[in-house]
Amino acid sequence: MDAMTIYQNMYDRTDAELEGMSAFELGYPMPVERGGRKLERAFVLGSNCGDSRPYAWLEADAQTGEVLRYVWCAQEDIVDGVPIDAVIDRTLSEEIDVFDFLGLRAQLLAAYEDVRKGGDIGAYAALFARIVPKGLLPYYKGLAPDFYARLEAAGVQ
Amino acid sequence: MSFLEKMDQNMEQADAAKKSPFEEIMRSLERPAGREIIGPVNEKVELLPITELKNIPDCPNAITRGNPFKLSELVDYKQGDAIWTVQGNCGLVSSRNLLALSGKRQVSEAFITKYAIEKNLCANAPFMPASERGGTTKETREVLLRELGLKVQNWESGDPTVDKNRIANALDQGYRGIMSINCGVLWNKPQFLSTTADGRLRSNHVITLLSAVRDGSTGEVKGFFICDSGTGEKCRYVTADLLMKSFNARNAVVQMTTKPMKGVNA
Repeated sequence: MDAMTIYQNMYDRTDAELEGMSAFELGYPMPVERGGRKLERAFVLGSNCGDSRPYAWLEADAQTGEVLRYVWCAQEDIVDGVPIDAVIDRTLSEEIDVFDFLGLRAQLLAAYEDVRKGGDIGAYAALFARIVPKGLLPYYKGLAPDFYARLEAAGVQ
Repeated sequence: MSFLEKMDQNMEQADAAKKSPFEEIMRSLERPAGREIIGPVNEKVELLPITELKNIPDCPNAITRGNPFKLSELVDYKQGDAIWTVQGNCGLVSSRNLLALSGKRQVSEAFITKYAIEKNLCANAPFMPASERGGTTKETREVLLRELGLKVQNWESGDPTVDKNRIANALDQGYRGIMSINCGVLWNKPQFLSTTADGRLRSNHVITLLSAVRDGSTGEVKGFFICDSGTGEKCRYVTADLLMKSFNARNAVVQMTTKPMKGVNA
């Protein structure tokens, strides 16, 4: 199944878990493989109240798109030793106008689909480095260590 | 004492408080000779008195109706400082402000937050961080306000009749309103964007509307004064263009009183 459909399923599930009452943003999807099964993961973070860290994450089947798990970080975290109310640095490394950012975000998701189909990771990694704040990198690494290693090899630091 | 009994007690105290400093402020805002009548013959509209403004960017002849600076003395402009486990309560603080600006109730952030939690009218899942607790929807805000004595009408983003002119016209007449918007756009900070999966903006913050700013020569709506509890600005000028861009988001809505609220800034 294509990444966008899976991402949409994750979004709908998060909205349902939060009863539509919380403003949230989904991190970008990341692939993982567990026991030979291909999965997609994304974390959930707040979007309106300071530089808060991710507080939940989801896991979906990459073949069917079904969301398998919605997990609160307070119960099962993706990083070690960071309090759930911790403040992290979520400023971008460069100033980007919000509407330009939305365009880059769309490009990133399209590039991710290419990577899933076996395309080169370079374009994706370059966009990822531009629009992902450094403070969130450990969370992406915790979410999908193997894929993150590929990003590091492609220049994401 | 039950929660509702405490609420009643709070209401009584608030009513008593209204008769002293709060009412005094309201009286001080009144200008007896300042009203005028405009509009179609069959729809007489009373407007608030004009206040001339200085230092409005790109608008040397700026005016507003009512006095947003005095009005802003009635608002709570900092969210999340009453109950430390609930900090994402912009919608609750804005609702509290709407009650105050409407002359209905003077309730505290702590009171309205506890009330919303008690009635399950805000986000409060046990594993949520404090920054995400207190979130609301337009529906829960509408219920909350109604239960606290104030009816509102919902003007949805995407409705072509909801534009800067309609909002400004209402504020000019003394209607009071709050507005849910996308704060990433309002603050021009991508890290505060909230988007749907396919990249459309989503409402993620609520602000309090104080007044509209017009070019005094042409009547064109140039901007608005708002209270933003997310940034702690109690009377910020924002251009109409920027505010309406931030309003162009899924679930964004203006929640306006159903009638002009006479007595406050009238």
